[in-house]
Amino acid sequence: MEKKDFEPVIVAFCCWWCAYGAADLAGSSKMDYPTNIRIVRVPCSGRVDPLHILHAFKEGADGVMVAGCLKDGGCHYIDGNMKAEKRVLQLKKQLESVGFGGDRLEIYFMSAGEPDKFVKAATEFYERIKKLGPNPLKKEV
Amino acid sequence: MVKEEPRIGVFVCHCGLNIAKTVNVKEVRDYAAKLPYVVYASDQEFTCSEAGQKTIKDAIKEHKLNRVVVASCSPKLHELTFRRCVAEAGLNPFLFEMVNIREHVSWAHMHEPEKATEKAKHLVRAAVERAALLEEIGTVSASVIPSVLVIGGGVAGIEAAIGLADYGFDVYLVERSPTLGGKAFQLGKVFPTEDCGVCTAPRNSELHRKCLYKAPILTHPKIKVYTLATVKSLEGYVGNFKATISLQPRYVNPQLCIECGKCVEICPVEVPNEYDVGLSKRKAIYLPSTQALPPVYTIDMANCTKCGKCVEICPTKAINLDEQPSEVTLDVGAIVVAVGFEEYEPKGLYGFGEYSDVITQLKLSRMLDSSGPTKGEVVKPSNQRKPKKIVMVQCVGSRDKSTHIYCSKICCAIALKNARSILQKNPDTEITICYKDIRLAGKDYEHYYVDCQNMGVNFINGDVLEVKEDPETKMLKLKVKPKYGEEVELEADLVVLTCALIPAKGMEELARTLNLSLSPDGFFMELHPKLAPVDTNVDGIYICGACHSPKDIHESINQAKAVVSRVATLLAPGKVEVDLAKSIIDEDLCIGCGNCVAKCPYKAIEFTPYGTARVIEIACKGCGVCVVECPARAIQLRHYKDDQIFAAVSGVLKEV
Repeated sequence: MEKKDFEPVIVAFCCWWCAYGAADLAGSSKMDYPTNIRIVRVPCSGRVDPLHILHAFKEGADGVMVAGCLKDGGCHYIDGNMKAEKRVLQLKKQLESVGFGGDRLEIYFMSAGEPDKFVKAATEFYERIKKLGPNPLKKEV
Repeated sequence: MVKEEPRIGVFVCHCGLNIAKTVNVKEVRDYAAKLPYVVYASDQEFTCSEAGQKTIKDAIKEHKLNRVVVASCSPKLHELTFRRCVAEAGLNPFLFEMVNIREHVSWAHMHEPEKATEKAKHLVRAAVERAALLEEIGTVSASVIPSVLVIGGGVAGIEAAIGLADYGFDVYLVERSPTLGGKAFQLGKVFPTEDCGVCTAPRNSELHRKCLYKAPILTHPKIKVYTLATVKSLEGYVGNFKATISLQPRYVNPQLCIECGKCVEICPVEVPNEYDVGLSKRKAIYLPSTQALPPVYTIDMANCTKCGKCVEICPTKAINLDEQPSEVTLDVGAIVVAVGFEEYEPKGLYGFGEYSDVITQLKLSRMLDSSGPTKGEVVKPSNQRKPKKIVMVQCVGSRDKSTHIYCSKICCAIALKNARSILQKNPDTEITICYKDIRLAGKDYEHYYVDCQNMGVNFINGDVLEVKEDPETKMLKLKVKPKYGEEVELEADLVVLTCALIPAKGMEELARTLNLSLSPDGFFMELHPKLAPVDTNVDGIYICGACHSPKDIHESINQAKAVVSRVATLLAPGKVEVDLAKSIIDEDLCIGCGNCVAKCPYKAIEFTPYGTARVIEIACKGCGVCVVECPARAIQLRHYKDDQIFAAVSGVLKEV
């Protein structure tokens, strides 16, 4: 597949209270973002297990974004988002060190009232993955 | 637990044209029909309607469905509706899964109908795969504490406190300043009735209006008031909160103070009086206002020199300069947040701060208050003379991208009310109001506009470009660009800025303490703008008044009354039922490391006598942090178990 025709598929783990709400508001405000962002709802970004992320890559996701509440107190569950950040940053390093690419994973923070942040994160992450090309685990590259 | 093979029904909603205009609903339905375990698939005009819900209930019976998937709007809107619907047909409400193909698909991707349809299929697939693994979840009930914490002692908080106390609940009213009353206390007259701002509605047994000053707030047997008090921390959950309140010292004992005022006379420290927006001075020991509630002196320790003269002169020995801060812990079943707003300080705008004759409406209101610092006379702060030409500038800090994008809603009425009050007293005053739009919707408001026009107020629809003082005449010169026509210059000896209403200081911190969400404007966010306007994201915590958005007294009182009804609905039954979509620990797998106990943000996990961990289900909020923390994988979160999340992930990634 030519890189320029490559359409990345992205799994977005969105916390129910903020990121999911921000995506809702993006829709209600009729704000565009790439259709290949596929949201999986979780109660808190702190519920996202590194295994869930690896599972997404194994199943063919080209990129995985985790989206949680705003840092420094924005989390509905106090600090689940900070725990998520720690785990994601750690997994990024490991993905990088095994040659998969740490940039294929990212964490974003937003409040339920910030649809623009969701759209910006989704669009920028999509562009980044488009540049990186398909998931190396996929057979036909 | 449901052991039988899944029989899934999929219901795809058109939402009128909201979904159907972009997503090919029939194609999605046909796709869903072929998915594993799906035995029934259909599409409805409005699945949430009575007819739509009947289709679901009928299909559950007819096709023996044991799982239901609805693809429609955001679950934030109708998940509960559909859970109730399937429950009415005999299914456990957690055997329902919702797919958001409106907010996340049709509305977000309006210009790409084909890709939107494809995305809808992916999301439906994920929901179906997840639905096959869903399990029944029961409920647990707990008793509730029949008492309420009300935070904020302005009109909204007072109204809510009295309403709840009259209902029979014990109410703790916590106010951070030394006196109750809030912003309305400072306003003199308030619209639309033009009486003083400190009135509350009559109680049931009293036919006449009650002044706040005489209202039963301090004497009501069910209300305990804490002034100089803030919420330090909050623990617990709906029906069973534990709030720790920090109490700042007043340095004057309310039980001993006889309000003789000798301390004020002798106090050598003089500072600007914030209650009068700097129009008067007060001492370091002072009565916050003549109508202060409670009517007790207080010492402002930031300015007190501790000379001790007041201590010596006080005839009842009520003053103690060494009083220390203290704390009190309150057990309550519900919490009402009514912390109000403040006026935006237009620093650097239109000469504010630079010229003393550029003031805000709050300062003007203090002058117009007949018991205020100028006894109801409007004067120029620079020379105490009566202004002849007044210009009011509307929307300062409102409807403006660089400050606040929202309309502060009540400022048009504030300006017109004050303009009318000035002209009623001094008909010769020339008043010009520069505005973007005059917004006076609402009962009894239009007459302010009509009156002002009849009284000769000059209205200019345009932007004020700059305000400069003439160094010789000391008059203020305003350059104004009307919406239509040439730039004009106005002269004024008093400029009044009508400023935005903004969230009160400390609101962010309070939001953190209480775990509440804020809207982009910085005000507290309601759970749903139409359906749950005074509920919040935390069960058992409610909001009312201007801390939710700028609003007038009338609307604040409406909300406070709504809150009384919401709290009563929660507490009156005496118990609260919560679902068990909570964490569960497999004690056979648990290695007793205590990681989950340490990491749970709600202290909802404890050790059993056998050294393993156990979830306190009523306290668990279902975040799932512990699941990931457990090194033995002994914990699962019901409804978000690992296999259920894996299924959703696989589902969105499968080819459609």
